[in-house]
Amino acid sequence: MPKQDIIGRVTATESKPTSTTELRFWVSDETILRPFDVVKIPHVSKTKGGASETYAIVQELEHITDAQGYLSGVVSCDFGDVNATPRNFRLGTTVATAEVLCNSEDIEMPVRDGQPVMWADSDGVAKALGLVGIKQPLPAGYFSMSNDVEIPIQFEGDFVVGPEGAHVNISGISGLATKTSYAMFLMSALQQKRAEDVAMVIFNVKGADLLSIDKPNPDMTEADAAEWTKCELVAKPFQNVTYFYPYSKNEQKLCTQSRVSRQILQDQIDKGIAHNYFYDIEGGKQKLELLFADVDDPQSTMEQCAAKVGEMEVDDWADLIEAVRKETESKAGRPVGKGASAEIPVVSWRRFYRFLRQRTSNDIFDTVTSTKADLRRKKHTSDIVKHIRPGNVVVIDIQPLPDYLQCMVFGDVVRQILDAKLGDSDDISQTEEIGRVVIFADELNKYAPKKDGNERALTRTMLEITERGRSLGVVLFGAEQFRSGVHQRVLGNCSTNVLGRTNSVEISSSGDYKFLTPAQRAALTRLPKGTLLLQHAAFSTSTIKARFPFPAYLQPK
Amino acid sequence: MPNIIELLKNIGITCNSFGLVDLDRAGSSEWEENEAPIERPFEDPPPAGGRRNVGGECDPSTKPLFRYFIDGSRKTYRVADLEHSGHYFPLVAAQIGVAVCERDFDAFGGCGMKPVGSESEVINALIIPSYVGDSDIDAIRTEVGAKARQKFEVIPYSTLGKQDKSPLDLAMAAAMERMHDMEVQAACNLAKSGRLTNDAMLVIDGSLMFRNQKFDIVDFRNVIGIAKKFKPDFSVGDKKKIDVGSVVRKLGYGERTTVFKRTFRSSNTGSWFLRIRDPKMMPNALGGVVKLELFALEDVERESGFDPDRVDVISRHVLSERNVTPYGADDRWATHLYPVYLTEQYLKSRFMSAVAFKGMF
Repeated sequence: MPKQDIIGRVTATESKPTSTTELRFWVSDETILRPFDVVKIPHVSKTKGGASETYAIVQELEHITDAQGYLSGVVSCDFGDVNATPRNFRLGTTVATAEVLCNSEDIEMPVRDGQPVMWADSDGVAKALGLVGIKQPLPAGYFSMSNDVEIPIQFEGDFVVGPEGAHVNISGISGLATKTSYAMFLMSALQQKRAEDVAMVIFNVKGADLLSIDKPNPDMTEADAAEWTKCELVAKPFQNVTYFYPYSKNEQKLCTQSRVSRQILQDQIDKGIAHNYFYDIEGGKQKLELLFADVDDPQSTMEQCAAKVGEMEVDDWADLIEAVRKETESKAGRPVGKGASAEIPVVSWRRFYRFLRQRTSNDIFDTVTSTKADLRRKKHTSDIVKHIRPGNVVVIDIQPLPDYLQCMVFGDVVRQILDAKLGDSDDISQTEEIGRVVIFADELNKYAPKKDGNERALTRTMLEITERGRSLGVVLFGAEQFRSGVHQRVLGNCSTNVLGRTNSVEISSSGDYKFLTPAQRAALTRLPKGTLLLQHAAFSTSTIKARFPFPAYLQPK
Repeated sequence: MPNIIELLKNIGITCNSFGLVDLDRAGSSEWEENEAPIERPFEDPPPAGGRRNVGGECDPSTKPLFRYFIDGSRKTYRVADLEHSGHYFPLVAAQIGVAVCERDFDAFGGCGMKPVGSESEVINALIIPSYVGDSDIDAIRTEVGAKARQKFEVIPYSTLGKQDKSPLDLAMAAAMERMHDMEVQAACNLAKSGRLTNDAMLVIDGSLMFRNQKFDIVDFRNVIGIAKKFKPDFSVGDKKKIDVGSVVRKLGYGERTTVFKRTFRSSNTGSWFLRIRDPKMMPNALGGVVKLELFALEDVERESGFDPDRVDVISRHVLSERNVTPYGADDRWATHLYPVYLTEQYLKSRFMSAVAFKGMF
């Protein structure tokens, strides 16, 4: 039950006055308070004899005593006897610094000295944090206070998947199952609340974590399920999921490179929801610039080579490599600076050739086959987009692939989604059918690294999503360990930022955390599992500390 | 709303504004010890050599002997000069208060202190010489009482036979007398309400030698006066008298002097000195020594003096009270017992600031 007792009183001093944005109050001895608790304080009213209520969120707690310095403590222990037991306890109190959130009458006068401070009730907390009047509520976790008041937190859906704002960035160190779990929680919320217009594309980059999201979590307890209820959601796995795995010629492994367990994969095959993606020469040669996204290419010669290769007429990948090999041979008498091939120096072709030969050796670069269709289950990457429909979830496993292939597949699928939304797709009907698409990309720093020279093709695609996606209906849910490693324009376009536990080196060396108060930055280094700080365009405070429930889908151990 | 000066002018008293001058001297709240000389040792049997070790502080688990603490304080200001019937004298205004705090670590938490609101009070006072005359003093009471922003008490003081004294000193002494009235009243109220017992004693900050207050000495059975300072040139001893400073200087940490008898308004008190700080850490030889004072109430006490064991027990409890200290916050930290310091702080926090007080004149 929420307490309505007075828990402290406002203190305004000459050196620490109350202001329109901040106040301090001392806390009664029996009160246990923590940062992010919300309190209310009676204040002046526009109505004569009335009283308004000001709400404030605790930022920092300090304990002070009347000791003038450290020596006061030393002297009070008989000049430094650590075993001394003073009979008297020093006068001291805990002082809370709180950020003013709102006033019930929109009064912005500083709160007066001596005013009583009380816990805010659920309705008050919701109002103070900006959680009322949300038009398209999207569950985002729940808020828990020291007095056991818990309220659900909701994002304004229009600021998550557009059109008012879009994109979510999630950062935090690995190993706490926070970043991915929260992204999956948010997508589960989208599927439960916005199935009619939102589709999801998930790239699996770690183990087999996201390769059985349609199966219930057998470890889920009643308490875990209750946490979902607190968020006004049902604890259930994802529905309408289709999996795409990287193709392998190894039939013993059911023609996939994926690490998904054989039992789970067989189950998915039986249900007809598991496919293997590959690139044939026709489609793949057009996308080679994505294959070299990580290669240092200050003169853009790799991109020029890739564009040239796209025009070559070849039958398979072996032909292509041979054709490129020929470009690496010096041709006597060939005019320099004239003709398309002549524009690209031989040394660049040789470099391109080395990369091409090495990077297309993976099994996903294959030919179209007609036999053993049920075993191979091969799909062009262009077919993936056809499965993206509102309420559906498409999981693309890129974990087994090397980084450069992960970038290629990611960039390719994202480009196709953008093309579909822009009407550039071969299948015009997709534009209407695809709905709003949420793309979840873990390790975002890999796809949109901090700018360090020329933008790569993949980075340009990511910028296009974050800068135009809001209106197009293409939304990026990005996650990374360190925000400082991600392109500033990508971060800057995110209407929602989620911060998990981060190490102090990252916080102190990056400017990305300057919007947090010192206390919030300190809290960020010790956030427990399942807890994070939310910053959202519709909130009326800079950040809210939120908890979210244990995943409801199967997580292979 | 008119200020006090305007109110006085309204009733025909000539006032010359003077500005607000703070008249207080630091640490002057203790009793001036110039009326009751120390007579002789008053302890049965007296300690050999005139001093003894009290046996160290109490075990930390021992319940504190002192539960209530009284502190009186006043702030006096010269606010104007008045002309009346050929006299020209300063108008002194004061805030006078007394605070009582109760200590119970188990019940109150924190520092264990809570004010006893019913016995804590602050008054505003106008201190005026009695030659202004009863009629005019009544007129001042009426005018100020009806129209001033805050309630003021008018305190007349007599100048009769004190022509050699400065009016300012006399006015300040009158403020001090009023403060002692309040202290004595608060102590008696505590005793009469049954709160003071032999294991819940009251500590008065300073001496027990109230000059003009009338009270039943029985109410002071469980009251001890603890003075932070004392005059070192008082002579003590039975036959061969020596100054108290010479006796106290020799005290080691945790040692006390014998109890000395002092007769005051037909009552006997016992006073002794206790060193509560290591002398090596003190800036001077008399630093860290407090003076303790009790009324002798039992017949045997009045006749033969105090029981050394009782004096030792009380002394050990006082020794235990030495920590924590207001070191750094108060120059008198070495002898300022912390509960008394807190009581003083509570009282001072209830005083108006000088600026706010000046605003009423």
